[in-house]
Amino acid sequence: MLVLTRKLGESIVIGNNVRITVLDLQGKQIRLGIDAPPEVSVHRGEVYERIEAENRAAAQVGERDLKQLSRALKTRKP
Amino acid sequence: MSQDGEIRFTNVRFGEVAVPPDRIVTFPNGLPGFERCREFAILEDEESAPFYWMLSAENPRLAFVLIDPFLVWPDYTPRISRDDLKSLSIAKQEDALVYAIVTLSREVKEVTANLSGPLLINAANRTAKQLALLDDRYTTKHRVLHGGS
Repeated sequence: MLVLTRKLGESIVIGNNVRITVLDLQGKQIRLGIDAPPEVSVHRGEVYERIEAENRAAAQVGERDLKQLSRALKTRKP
Repeated sequence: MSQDGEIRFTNVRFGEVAVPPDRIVTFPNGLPGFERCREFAILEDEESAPFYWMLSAENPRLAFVLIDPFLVWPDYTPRISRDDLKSLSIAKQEDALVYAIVTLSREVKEVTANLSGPLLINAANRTAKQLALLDDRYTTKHRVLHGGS
């Protein structure tokens, strides 16, 4: 991992079009400003990891078919 | 019937399937956990409705189950940012399609849908991305047969 030290107001640039700026420091909290083009997704790490874990679970479809589930949903009470 | 432009998919579940181009979606960045899988076919079949199968073009073993979340949770209101719309070049609201990924389980009652990571698709150009909503109302596990909870 590349480790850089930055001061308040300083930034780092990733590639040609992503800039991350240290906006504020308060105790253990750091506010970062991120400038990135819309096609670059920016996520909080823990949120991304939660989605990733759920995708891995969802990919375990195995041999299951959807017949029973489909029937259960169609006949559920409103 | 075979049409021009159909794309052949091989999937362990369905074998070889010919998919019309309008059923293909491209995730330019893949999906979290499956970043290299970019092309998928979204298919409906009578037995699975109202669920859909989303099959990977790159990995014949990879398949997801999707559902239209508004069907189960009519009050679902994912906040989709302007940047998300822009990143897929979605110009009109009608072009924005939203699906939720379903996690199956041995018990149908335990089947859940991920409402905090919906798929957003531009119906006009078939590009897509998975969002990660910052919204306390939604989690990655909402029981499908207990709509609303």
